[in-house]
Amino acid sequence: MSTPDYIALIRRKSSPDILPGLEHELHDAIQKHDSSAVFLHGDGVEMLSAIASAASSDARVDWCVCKTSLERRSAAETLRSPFRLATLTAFYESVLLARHVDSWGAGGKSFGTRALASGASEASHRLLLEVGFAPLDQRQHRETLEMALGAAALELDVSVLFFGDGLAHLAGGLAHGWSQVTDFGLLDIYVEGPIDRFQPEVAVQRLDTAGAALLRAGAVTILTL
Amino acid sequence: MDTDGHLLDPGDWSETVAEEMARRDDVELCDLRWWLIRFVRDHYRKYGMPPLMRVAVKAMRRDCGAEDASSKTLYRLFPDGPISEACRYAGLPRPESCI
Repeated sequence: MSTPDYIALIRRKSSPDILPGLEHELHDAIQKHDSSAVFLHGDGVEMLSAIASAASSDARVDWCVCKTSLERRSAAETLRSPFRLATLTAFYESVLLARHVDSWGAGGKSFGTRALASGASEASHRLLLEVGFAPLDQRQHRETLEMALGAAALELDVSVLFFGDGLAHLAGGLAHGWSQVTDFGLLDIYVEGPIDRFQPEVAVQRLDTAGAALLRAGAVTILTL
Repeated sequence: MDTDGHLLDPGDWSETVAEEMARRDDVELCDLRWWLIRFVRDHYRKYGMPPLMRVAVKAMRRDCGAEDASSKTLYRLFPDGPISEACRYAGLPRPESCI
């Protein structure tokens, strides 16, 4: 990816009820920026055929598909123009420089939007990843973890905030993958609100609503996973 | 082995197998290379995936007294990709993540 003004991260499964809205929002956002990149990751890769007709060969838009996510779903599929393979590393390097980032997460209906704060630099780019959904399967769990590890690999200033059913990622048999994050101090993990159904088996920092609001306010970019 | 040279069945792995793989590749498994292979195996067993490069560097500084260790140090051990190659000699699948 080059350095687009606008980045859209899509991790949602394709479904008839959300597709028209997503296409509309995406089209509007792309029109407002000089250059854009759309990055399909995780279940978002399943949007590939659905949005292929909407994807243009407009040189201002870089249509990127996560290599690993695609391999896990359809290793034999040949990617057609204007789509191309990309990595999480390339995605995060672009996020640091983009002026505006939207994310369509796997579980929520809302999407996070954050413009690059005036004067913010790459060095001060605080990134917040939000997880508010329970993984449907091991693959979805793994790919959410990989989003966090991708940021950690680049040693970005990144935190992950779990809330609601998102705590399922940190409980039971799924927790061990996230343990590496805290065991090696890769990034900070926060939990918002009461812990009832899912008991985290990973060292987390608990936040009340006010604390979570402060965390969000301090982030330059929020990605809803 | 698969086409990338990874064991098809990780259960077939032993240190003797790793030594034989290295011999065929004309690679000497020195102490540091063995440390990385064992670290990657331990990490995989504990977390279900190989470590990030920065994790391996941090652990090398801690475990091997190599305070100046960096990703370059790891690449000197396995120029074709330290984590991927350590996985191969450790009998683990090819890392599938694009991180």
